[in-house]
Amino acid sequence: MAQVAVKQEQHVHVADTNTGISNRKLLLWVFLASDCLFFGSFIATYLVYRNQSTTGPYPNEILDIPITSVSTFVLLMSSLAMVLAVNYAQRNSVGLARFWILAVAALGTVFLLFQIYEFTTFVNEGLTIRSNLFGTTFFILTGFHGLHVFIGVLWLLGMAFAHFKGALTSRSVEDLEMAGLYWHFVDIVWIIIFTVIYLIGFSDGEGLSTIEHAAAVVGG
Amino acid sequence: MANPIARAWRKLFYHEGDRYFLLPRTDSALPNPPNEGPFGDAGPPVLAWLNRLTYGDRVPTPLFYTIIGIGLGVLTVIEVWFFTMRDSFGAFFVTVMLLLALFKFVVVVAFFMHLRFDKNLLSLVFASGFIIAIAIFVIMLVVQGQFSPDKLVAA
Repeated sequence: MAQVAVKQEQHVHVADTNTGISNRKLLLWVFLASDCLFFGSFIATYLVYRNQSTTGPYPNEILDIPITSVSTFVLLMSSLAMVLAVNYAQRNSVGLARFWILAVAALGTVFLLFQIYEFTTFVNEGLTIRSNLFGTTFFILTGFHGLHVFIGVLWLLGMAFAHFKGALTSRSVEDLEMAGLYWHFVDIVWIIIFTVIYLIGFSDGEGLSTIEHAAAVVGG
Repeated sequence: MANPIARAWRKLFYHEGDRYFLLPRTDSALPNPPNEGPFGDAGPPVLAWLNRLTYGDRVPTPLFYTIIGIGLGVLTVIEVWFFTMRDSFGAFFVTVMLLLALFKFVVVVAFFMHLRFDKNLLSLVFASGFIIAIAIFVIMLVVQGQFSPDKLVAA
């Protein structure tokens, strides 16, 4: 009897579908799988055109690793805040769940501010989407990622202010879980981008002058 | 004897059988006694203590996720440290960075995104998208003539 009571208080349940998974949650996972293709294509494009720019600025001249490391850490901690929000919602703690949702939205906003600062600095230093192949592939990839973060922030703010006013229901907890899945996906995409473009790609063009680099590219 | 890698995979990430966190689906699957954790009363007291800290009320505790989050933060610091030492590692640097990123990716997907606790179907759906993305990635590199160690590893 006590166990049944515990079960009613918690919001971990099996959906009434053939798969035992709610259709909305399954659909979100299909969307995330398709988004893998979206970002996979952009990352592949970046790597195909890596080291192919004939004019600067090159990655080693313009990427700011300390700043980006901090913003990466911020996004990672937002993922932690997100999973805590879902966990407290499953435990029926509305106040704590709402607090952590707002924390995620705040950390996401900080990440976006870092990205705006980075883009502005790059443009001021001469790297635009039309400057060279690095600029084109970099802005397209990180710009679309930033757009995903922005949508995630709006989604979470909407949930915090409109959805969690009264008591939690299984439906609202599932809504939060789906927002969480989306947010974590945005985080794992950034894990790959940070490693491939910033940490590994930083050395592109290193030690070469613009003329030497152009000659190296043209020469093969 | 099963392959140790396969055994470790099943222990860590498999969705059926003897895994660490098995979310009860029915009343009969509820722990007895409640929240005893995967090791029960067996093993050293520190394991029982760890179970109490990381598993309660039928779901992993906030502390469990906090430990994972801090671990991911530490891995990011290690990544940046490797980056500052990249000249010492040469081509090995790229391998280490990719492995660290892959490990962080798997941990977030398995624990934060709950694939570790959810049904296999969701893992299959996500893995199919990820595998097709990798296939597109490799095909693009091959078609563009970039798939050579010199091009991929070149600093």
